[in-house]
Amino acid sequence: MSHEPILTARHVTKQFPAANGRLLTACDDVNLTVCQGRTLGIVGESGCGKSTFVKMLVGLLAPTEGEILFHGDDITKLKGEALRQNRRKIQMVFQDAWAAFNPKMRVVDIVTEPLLNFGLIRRSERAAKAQELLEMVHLPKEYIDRYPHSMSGGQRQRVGIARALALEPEIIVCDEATCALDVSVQDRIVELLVELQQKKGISFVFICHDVALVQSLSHQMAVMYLGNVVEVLPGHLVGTEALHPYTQALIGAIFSTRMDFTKKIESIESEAPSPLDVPAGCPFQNRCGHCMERCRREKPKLVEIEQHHEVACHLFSR
Amino acid sequence: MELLEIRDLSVGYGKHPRPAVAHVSLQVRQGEVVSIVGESGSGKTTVIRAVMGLLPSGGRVTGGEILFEGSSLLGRTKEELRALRGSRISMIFQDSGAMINPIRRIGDQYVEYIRTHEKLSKKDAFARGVEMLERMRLPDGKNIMNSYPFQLSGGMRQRVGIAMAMTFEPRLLLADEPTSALDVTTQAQIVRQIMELRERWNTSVIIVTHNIGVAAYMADELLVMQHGKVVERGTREDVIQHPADDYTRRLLAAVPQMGGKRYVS
Repeated sequence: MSHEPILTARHVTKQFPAANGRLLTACDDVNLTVCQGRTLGIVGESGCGKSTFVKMLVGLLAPTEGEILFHGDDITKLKGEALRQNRRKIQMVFQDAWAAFNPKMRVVDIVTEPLLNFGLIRRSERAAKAQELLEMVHLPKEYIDRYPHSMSGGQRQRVGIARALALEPEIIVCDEATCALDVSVQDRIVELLVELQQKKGISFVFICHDVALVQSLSHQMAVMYLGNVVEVLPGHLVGTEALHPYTQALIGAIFSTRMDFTKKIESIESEAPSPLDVPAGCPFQNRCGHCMERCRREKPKLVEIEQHHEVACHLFSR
Repeated sequence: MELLEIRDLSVGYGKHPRPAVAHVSLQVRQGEVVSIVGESGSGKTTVIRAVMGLLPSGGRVTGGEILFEGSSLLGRTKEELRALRGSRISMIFQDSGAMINPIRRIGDQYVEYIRTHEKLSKKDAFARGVEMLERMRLPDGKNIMNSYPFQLSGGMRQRVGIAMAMTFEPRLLLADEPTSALDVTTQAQIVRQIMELRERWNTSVIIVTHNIGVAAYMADELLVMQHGKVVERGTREDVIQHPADDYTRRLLAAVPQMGGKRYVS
């Protein structure tokens, strides 16, 4: 199977107006690619811009600058019916399935609403289609008559995935889709996503703050910090090859059941600066143990270290 | 003597036939950290809420005994419990910002809290608050006292919560998912801070969390709960390396690990 790039973000920047005429830069010159049938993981802490970025991918926000190419066409320029039709191709699963559904709608209405919106089925076909969708996410057919409140968190998230699958999208964006779930439930949901990917060739964009989880399910993983992509590398190499000091810090902050329990935790002190005052130079400078004079002056560019591995850090620029 | 002893505790909610906590026993010695892990609905939070005398309405202890410093906590009056809470036993929550009134300054609430337990002037209580905040590595305590909760980050609010909880140097600190709402790097800072409390004051800690890594790192003794029962207990090495219970094994297998299970090739 070939893994052609199908969605490419080029120089995507998003700024929001803030108080006193200032600008908040949520995403700063982000370049990322989603390949057919693969998973792009994005990891980063709150406020790093990962959610803003995927909202631009699904067309919920428009970038301030840059373009997002889907099969070669810039989707940020789409308007009206073309924009609406494009939404069929890129669907989203949210963190809180409880908030993402209308509590007064039954499962049958939730999962078939997108199909009715696009006129793809008749109302009389709803029940059969909903049962088919539930089967894909391994929920019992009888659940079509349930309301969101009478299901567990994991079951609700399966309904969210079923709704995203309804329009047979090419890309599904999961925004912290498993973070509210218990680990055993999370494990089964991720297995479901991988199964769907293998069966249908769907591409996933999966964002989460848990680097251990993201690396385990990503073909390619991007690390974001203060609106910048600081490292991109294949998921299976994260444990051994990650270079950027921030990626290292994220890995160092994991509490693993396999860790040496006697060791002191090496966590970086302080907190990320506000995205309203991103320092000139490297965004990570004030928390980095390797900060040099050059880092305060000049912002490092994302450069390719090896094939499929890019880092934005002066330590590794040649 | 144990600082806290829970014997055969059962807790039920309303008329629900199945108890939320069934026959749970545990002991905490001075300076010891006990971690309780489990998934949602396992009853882990109910256990520490019962110790605090803070079960939600409809919840009641249906059996067993809770002894603190040798005497029972269950028969005490509201006033006796209130005097104990916040001074001998205190608690920190998942989001310490949510327990603070959002429209009052941190300082106002902190001063009020200190003055409910000790006869101090407002000025002295304020100074005491500033001192505690700075001990918890919050720079410029005075500024924080004058801030509203929303002006602080989640990590800072959690530090404020810990500072408040530690004001009267409690013997026992109950921590309910204290790092679950935080980013990973902040989580590491807060875990380290809680461990320092033991070094400095020999505080005993019961931490309840769904993060097995955090629980194991902190624990002298680790308990795994499921459906209101303790299914496994032991030192962290015993539980993590030689889990006897099937549920513990499944739980451990589901935790994402660097270099562990891969979902994609």
